[in-house]
Amino acid sequence: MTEAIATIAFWVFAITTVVGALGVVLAKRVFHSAMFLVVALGSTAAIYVLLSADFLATVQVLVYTGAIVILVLFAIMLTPQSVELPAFAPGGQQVGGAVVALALLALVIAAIRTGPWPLAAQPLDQPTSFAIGQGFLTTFLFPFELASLVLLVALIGAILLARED
Amino acid sequence: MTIPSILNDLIGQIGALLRYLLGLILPEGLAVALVTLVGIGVAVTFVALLVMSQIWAERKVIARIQDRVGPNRVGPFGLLQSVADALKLLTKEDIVPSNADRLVFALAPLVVLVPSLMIFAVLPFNWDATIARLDVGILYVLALATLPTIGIVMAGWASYNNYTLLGGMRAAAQLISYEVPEVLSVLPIVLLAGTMSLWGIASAQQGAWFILAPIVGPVAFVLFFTAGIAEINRSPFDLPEAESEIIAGFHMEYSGMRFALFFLAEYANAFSVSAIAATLFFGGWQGWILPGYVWFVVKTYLLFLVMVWIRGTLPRLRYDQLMNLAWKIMLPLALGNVLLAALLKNAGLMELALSFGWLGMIVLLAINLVVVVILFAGYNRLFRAVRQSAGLPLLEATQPAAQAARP
Amino acid sequence: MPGLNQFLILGAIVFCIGIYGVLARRNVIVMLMSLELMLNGVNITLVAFNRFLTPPVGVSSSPFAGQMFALFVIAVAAAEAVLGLAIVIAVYRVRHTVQVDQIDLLRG
Repeated sequence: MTEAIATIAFWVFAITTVVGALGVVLAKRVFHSAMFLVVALGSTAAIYVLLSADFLATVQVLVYTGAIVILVLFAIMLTPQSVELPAFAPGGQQVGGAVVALALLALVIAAIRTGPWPLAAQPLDQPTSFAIGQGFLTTFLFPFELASLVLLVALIGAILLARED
Repeated sequence: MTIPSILNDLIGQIGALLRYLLGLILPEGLAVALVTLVGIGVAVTFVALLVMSQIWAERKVIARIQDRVGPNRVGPFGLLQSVADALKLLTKEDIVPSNADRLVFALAPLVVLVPSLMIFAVLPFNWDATIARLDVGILYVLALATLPTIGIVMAGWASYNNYTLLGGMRAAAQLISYEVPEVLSVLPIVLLAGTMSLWGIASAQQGAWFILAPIVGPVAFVLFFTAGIAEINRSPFDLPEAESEIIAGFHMEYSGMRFALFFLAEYANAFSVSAIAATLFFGGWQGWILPGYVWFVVKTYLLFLVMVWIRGTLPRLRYDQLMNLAWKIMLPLALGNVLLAALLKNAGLMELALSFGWLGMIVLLAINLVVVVILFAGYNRLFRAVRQSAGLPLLEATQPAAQAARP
Repeated sequence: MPGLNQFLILGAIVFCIGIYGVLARRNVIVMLMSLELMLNGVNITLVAFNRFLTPPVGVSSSPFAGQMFALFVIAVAAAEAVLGLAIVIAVYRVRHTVQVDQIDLLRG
């Protein structure tokens, strides 16, 4: 019963993720791309829930859809463009891009299928918040502090770059 | 005086009965799915009825604060006024601006409303009555509280109107500014409870409510409540949607049922913020004699009435005053609060303070009130002294200059 | 419950759609959004590996190293999106366009 629900949920959210991603790259108007990005990122959060990453799923919604998408929307509002400008690169480049993307996809799928993965006996389905917090403050303390420094630098840099003078 | 135990889990009993009855005629999985759907329908109906009662209560209380009576024509004491309003909004013509982006225009109210409804899934109405007992409950609530901002920007942009666009951007700026103090003010409570699950936080307050935690509790409550009121665009932070402003805001072009969805979202959000505050600071379902969910609803309603009281009493904040409050006052206070909470918890003083009995709680409350008043007054004085010593003008003096400098 | 392969293929598809977006679109904001898609694809792969593979052994590891890696990716993606969009706004002030093929010269 739970298995059936999990499988249905995976397929539903996988399809919405791919549809959202395709919408981002294929929509003619930038605002619609941003809307599709919300769909793609929200569906990714649902995929994380399916993979028992509860803390990561809520952080994904909080940071990606709650902050980065709003940032993108503000940038879209502050850079108005006429709609008649060509949205896509010239035809040859589109075909080239599609060929590259498809070739990479084929290569990666071939790599996924070959060779057995060292699967664990039991998938890891535990509550994650406490362990992640502990990991951040003991094993991965240095990257954690470094990440906060990166965010501080980004904050100051963005304010300086986007100022009116 | 005992209450029969069946009242303690009324909803759960009815759900089990329904599942049993359906299981007699349908296969197991289908019965569970149907009961879940019925449960979702009940929850949404409950929210709608709650919102109607909230609207009535707000209009009556605001009216009395403003020395008038409020709705009293439709039904006894105006109780059916919300029904009349709903019928009116349902039968209004649905106007869509001709150049509007129809899909985005139609989806915007949903993006604002659905996260507010999703928050109801984790509210702990009783010690065994939560729809979803998440480990990351409070983080889930805070993540969902960031989503209506997207809906507001969508509404402002899709209406194809300069004024709604400006209103939407200002509303979005206000909402993202108040997210940071809101998240930071919840951190001391998570620290005290040791868990992010709302059920866990409420049950950790069995000895004493977290609002009584020395210094940290009341400050965190004031910050969270203020940021919560700002997040749901209520007075005194309702500049984006104020009826008396020339720029009527992001929902100017919405009429009929679409506007009703925005309206519903605002009151559902008000209930959610009050419910989360009741769970985090006032113990959720903890109480004597009466069943847990009665206490939960009572506490939430009292906090909602405090919101109504604030709306009726305080004047609307101007936009720059609003941003000042968020970034220059609430953010440093919230950070200091987290630091203080961590220090006190590490020194073991928190457990000590929250372990006294009844008299201890009253003494703690008195001490807390005194300390909070001293703290806020002292912070104000310190801020003024620092600015004067640096030769900078005080906050009040900068406003006219900012007004004059604007083109 | 789908196995590891399905999640990995989903991550690969999202990543490749992001690559197409970066290569074939002219609007620099859409290119930044496609970059976010690529980072999301990588995150899905990381979290899927975390769930299905044997946990890493050793003193400097944790059973949720994959999810922590994904959290760092989210943090760095946020920082990079912020800076990228600030640059876009700054460039727009001078060139009044966000089409990449019109901003390809350093001089006027």
